[in-house]
Amino acid sequence: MDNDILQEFLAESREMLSQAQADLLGLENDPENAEILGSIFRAFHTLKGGAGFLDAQSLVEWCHGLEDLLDKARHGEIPVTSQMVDVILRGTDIIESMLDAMATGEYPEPGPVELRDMIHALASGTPGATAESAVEPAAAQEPQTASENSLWVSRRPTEQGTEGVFVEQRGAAPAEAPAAGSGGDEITQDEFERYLDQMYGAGGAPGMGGPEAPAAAPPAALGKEPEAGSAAAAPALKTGRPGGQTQAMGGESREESTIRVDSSRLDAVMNQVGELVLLRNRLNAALANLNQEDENLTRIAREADLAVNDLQGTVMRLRMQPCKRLFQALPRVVRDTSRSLGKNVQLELEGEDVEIDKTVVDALSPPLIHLVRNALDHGIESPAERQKFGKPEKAVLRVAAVHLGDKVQIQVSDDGRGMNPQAILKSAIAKGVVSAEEGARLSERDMLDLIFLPGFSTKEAVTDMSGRGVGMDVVRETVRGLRGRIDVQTRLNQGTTIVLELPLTLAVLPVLYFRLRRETYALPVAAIENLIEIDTPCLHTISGKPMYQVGRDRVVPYVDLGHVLQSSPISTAHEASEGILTEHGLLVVSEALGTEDSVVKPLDIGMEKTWYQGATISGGGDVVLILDGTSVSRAQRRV
Amino acid sequence: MKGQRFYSQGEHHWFVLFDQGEQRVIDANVYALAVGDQTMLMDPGGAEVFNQVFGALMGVLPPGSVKAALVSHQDPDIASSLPLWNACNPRILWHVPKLWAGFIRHYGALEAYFHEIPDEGGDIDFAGRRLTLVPAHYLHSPANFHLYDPAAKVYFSGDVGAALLPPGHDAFIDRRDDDSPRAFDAHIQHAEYFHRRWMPSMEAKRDWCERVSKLDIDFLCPQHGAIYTGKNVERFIDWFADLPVGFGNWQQGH
Amino acid sequence: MTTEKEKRARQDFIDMADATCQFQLEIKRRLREIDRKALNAQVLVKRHGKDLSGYGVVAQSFREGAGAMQAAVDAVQEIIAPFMTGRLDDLRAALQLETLERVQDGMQSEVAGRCGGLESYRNRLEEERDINERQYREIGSSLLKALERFEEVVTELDYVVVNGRIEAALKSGSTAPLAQVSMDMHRAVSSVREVLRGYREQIEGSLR
Repeated sequence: MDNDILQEFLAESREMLSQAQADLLGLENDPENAEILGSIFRAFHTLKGGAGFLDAQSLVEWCHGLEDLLDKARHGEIPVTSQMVDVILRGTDIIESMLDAMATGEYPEPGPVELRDMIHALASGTPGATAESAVEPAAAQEPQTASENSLWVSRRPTEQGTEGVFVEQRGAAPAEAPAAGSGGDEITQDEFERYLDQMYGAGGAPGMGGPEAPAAAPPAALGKEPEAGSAAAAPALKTGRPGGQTQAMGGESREESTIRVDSSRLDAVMNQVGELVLLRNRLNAALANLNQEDENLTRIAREADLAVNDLQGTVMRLRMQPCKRLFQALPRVVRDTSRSLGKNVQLELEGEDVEIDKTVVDALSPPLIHLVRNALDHGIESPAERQKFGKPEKAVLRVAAVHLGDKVQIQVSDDGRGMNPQAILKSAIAKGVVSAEEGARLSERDMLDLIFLPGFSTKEAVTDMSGRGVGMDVVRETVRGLRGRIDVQTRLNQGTTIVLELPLTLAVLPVLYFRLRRETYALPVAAIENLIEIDTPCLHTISGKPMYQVGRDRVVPYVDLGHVLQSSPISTAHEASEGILTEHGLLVVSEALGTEDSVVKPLDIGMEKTWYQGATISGGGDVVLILDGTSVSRAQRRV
Repeated sequence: MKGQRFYSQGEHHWFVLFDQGEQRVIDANVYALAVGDQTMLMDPGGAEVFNQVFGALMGVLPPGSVKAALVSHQDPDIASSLPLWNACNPRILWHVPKLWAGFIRHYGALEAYFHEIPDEGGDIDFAGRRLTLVPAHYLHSPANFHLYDPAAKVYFSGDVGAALLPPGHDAFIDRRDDDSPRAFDAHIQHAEYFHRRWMPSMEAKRDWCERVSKLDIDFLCPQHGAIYTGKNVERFIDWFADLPVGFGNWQQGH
Repeated sequence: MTTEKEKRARQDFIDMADATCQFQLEIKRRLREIDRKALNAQVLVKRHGKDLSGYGVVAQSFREGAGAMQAAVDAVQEIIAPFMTGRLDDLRAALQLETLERVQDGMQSEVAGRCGGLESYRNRLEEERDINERQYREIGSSLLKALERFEEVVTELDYVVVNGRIEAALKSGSTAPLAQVSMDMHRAVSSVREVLRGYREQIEGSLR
């Protein structure tokens, strides 16, 4: 196999597949929607074409089966049912694994016989072939009332001798009725094939680099079809990702507007810009130390400064991806999970357009799925239970991305039963995650935080859904690894919101340099609320721990960094001291020095054991350790 | 000369003025005890460094707040600035050894307001704080007093503990590693000859060591050199107790 | 005997020394405060990213202003030292004159007549005192100039602060902390202005 063609095929196929999966879920809610149906159909058709070009016979056959099924549905020969969507979704999973096989250079194995037979059975219009279908009747036209008014759609010649779509009420007297609105739109399979060939050139489906130029406007006779055609072309355009495939519809050209680039090249650019940023910082520092002021030099430095900033911004944007990519797996997860748990859940996605660093998108996908499963499993009650509490039977699970300054918040909220801190504590003590004495000292906030400790799971039995491998501890570690933070907000019987706060970019880290006696350290500015003068009367000891009063009614832990990092407390009476207020407490240092956009260099030591999240090179050219405010104050609290 | 605060509790503070710029006269520290808006100086220094002391004091405390001073003994590096201070503020109360009072007036302050300290010392009140004048006769002067502030655990030790350090020295003996005697050992070399030569009496020394080792001291503050803190206080008293001094002893080791 | 006039001059001197001390301590504290506020503004800007990028320039100017003020303070302090030394030399000379007067007063007139050296020594002391006085006034006027320069720097910074407050007000919404920082900055700068004005008046008074 030609590797370049293969890679392009794989990337496009995966995109197409994930769009098809999303479409399938849409179809389930709107079985009448010919546009969606056509779009899914064409996805498999295109896949089949590409697979054929690459001689992946099993994939061709598998796609063909699905294509056939969808084609029949398109033509109204068989109804679109939940069961059918289910089967096709499982079919897409098989395609995914086949693509995985091809990615490793293997020709895919034939798909599982059982599922293939099921697809065939559905396609042949014998839904009774599987047991499930009998208990799950569905109809194309009125799915909502399906259980009472089962409709059966078929296509056969009308009395006039032309073809027509017939809808029957099952179980009742067969009512002959011409299918509304379908007569004019209807095309035959052959017509459709012809249309596709016109679009892409014979055998030249997307991804195959078809030799012929795309045709002009499709024939008017096709009626509604052009729209359906646009829908097929939509995935690449809608998502705004580098689609690679040139789309030309109705003369509107998007040629060359996107380009597919290996992400490792982006990473390389990023690293180089990082080095440039550090050099810029050093240049500025060196200029500041220059005894004589040279106006020309200063101006050049300032311009270089701006240029580097712009470059940094541009490179940063190169790596940005919409949260849509992060969210795309969720509808399926929610559908499958809620079904198997017997829960009725509506998923609401918000902020799909919010962009975030690619690394974050990539790393956050499994944790997010875990959070969603957790909410479905532990948070959301069964419909019966919800009814008992006077809640609507259908629960709402909301996943939202919100852009906040230089951060993005991902919120996963449910309207379920909420968390009970005392119950969490009890469970944690029972599991030996904390001792009873430790537990007695915890605030409710701290109790909630227990769910993030390794070895904790709120349910006694590890369930199939959320209790698999990744626990909340892994979620938190992942988020921390991305320099983010995680927070739980919960109200009993009203629901839980898990908030992940992540930096917009991992490329640069604005830090505040501070001095601790003779040493210089850095702290990410994202953690800093305020710099304050330490006023001794505001320092109190509450149950043996030093606390500091900020303003009238806020008391925060007093974290003496001299004590933590140099094992010698800073005496505010005899030494220079200054307070850095963070959300975790007041960090006491000798002096705050200044801010700088730094680039983090990972440390080569076990991160869990240190207070540092990395190192950077300061403008002065020195290696400066970057403090992890959270772990420092956490450690202090335990002392 | 620099001013540095080394003790602070509420309105009760101790400062050291040290590292004088003038090298032709012996380098001396001046200590200032401030309670609220009143200041007391310990051994205000020689006339030749008055400008420097005054400037350094002005960097940390208003000179007008000086209400009292201790003159531990009669030496010029201790007392010759007395008339200048007195000219600035004739209401300063001078605590001077009774034995030396008539001598000290010779520096030129006939009208200065003196409290003559009896040989046995005793407590005085300054701005509502009790301070103890500790007799330290023959260390080295025949009539000589140290001052102990029990609340701050500060002991002003005059010439005892003095070390002749090069310019630019710190106010303290390095206290980063209190458990190791290394910094003390390095420092005490600068103090040894001074003590052998200037301290005349083994008996007076033994008596002093015995009395002072019973006091709770955080800062031992000599008039020359650097401040002893933490374990260095005990190290110094032990070292001094073992040191042969005075007549018949001072030439040993040199 | 020390004359009443001399006593008053000494009291004035001590008052000025106290004012200088308070001035130095206050200014040091205020400058640190201003620098901290400026740093705070920078941290805020960095935290809020693009939304506040316009304010970044203001925050940077705050810091530069704080730096300029520090330079102005250093210039003032460099002059304060010789200014006070001159005053102390006056004091010393006055004391010597006093001693000399006491010696001469105690002499019988015939003896005094034969000690012409004492008289010329006295004349020399008086001459030195006058030169000291002149130098003192010269240094005093350059101290005043340095203080004026300082005031100009404060005014410049105040201008930046006002701009910052306007900028913060324009960006209303997510910028409550920014408005707070601008307000704090304004207060800190105003208080420096007060301290400075008080001290300048004191010095002017002593030179009159």
